[in-house]
Amino acid sequence: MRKETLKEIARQAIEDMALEARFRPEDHQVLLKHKDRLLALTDELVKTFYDTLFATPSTRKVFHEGERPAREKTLVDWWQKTVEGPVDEEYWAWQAYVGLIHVKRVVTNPMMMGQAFMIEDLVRTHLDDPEVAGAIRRLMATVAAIIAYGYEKAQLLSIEETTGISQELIKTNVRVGVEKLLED
Amino acid sequence: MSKILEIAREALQQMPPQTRLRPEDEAVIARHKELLLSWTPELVQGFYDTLFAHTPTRKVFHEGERPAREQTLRDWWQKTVEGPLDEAYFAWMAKVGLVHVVRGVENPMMLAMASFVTEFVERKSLEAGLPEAEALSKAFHRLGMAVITHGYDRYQALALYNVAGMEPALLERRGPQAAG
Repeated sequence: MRKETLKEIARQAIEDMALEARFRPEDHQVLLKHKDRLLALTDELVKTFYDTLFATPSTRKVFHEGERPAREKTLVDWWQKTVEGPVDEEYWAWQAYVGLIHVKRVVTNPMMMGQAFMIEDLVRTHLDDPEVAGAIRRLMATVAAIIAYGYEKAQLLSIEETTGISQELIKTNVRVGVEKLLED
Repeated sequence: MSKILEIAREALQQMPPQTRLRPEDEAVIARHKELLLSWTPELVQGFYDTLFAHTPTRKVFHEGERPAREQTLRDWWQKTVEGPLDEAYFAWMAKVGLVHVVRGVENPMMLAMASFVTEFVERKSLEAGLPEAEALSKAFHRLGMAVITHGYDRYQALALYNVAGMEPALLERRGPQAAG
């Protein structure tokens, strides 16, 4: 997928979010201020993250045999890039790309939501600071929103491509189907 | 309703247990019932002020709809605080998720408002100097994730209705329009 499409997906997701809940430039200043302590959490964050995923049958199934070290490396990279920045359009486009990869690897949004909570909770447990709490909350809400939106967009785009039906029409069809489900 | 319950269960099972709502979360909410209920007007006001101040979310609402929507939030808050947060509660949440799909509420909008509620509880708990402020905030955080997860039935619905279920009929009916 083109970089511009990913940027557009991220832009749309952020635009849908209430301003209060979005990640702000000053939030990244807070992350930078606590950079060393946040980066010192990397090992524990990565271990807890994948221990949790490998301990749950639904999420363990996502992984191939022997894949864990490679996946750990991607989380290390994500955390480092997130803390060090820049958290810009390119960064958010990358989060949209994560949503697409999740579709490919059959990682559902409930799985992702659980892990977003886990990261926020771990950071807040170690850095008991209201400033950090606000920044990490808005970070994870924004990342989760983009990943979830990217996931939905990837599904819509692939259905559009295989059936030739426009995304708007697919969404209308889903609404019609859901209305029927609610009536049952 | 049983189909909704089924997909809701499936969604919840996909979350690692460490991240789900726990009995102790429900207990801490129950211990603060009266105080949490006393926050209702402020929560409702803040929630809809936020939605109406933002163009993409304001567009979701019909003219004059706000009082009715405020009432649904009041009902949700009361039911949530009073519990029980059992299977029936989450089946209701699954249904609420689907209502959001029908109304064209996007997931980033829901995620932002889940974050809003969590932040509200945290701020009010700290202001009130509650000894259990942290546990209460975390309980609502977990609850928010669980509620949103049930809201994510929209994806299951998309899969069911567009790929597996009634889609062939819809494809036939709407295909020519799309092509044209």
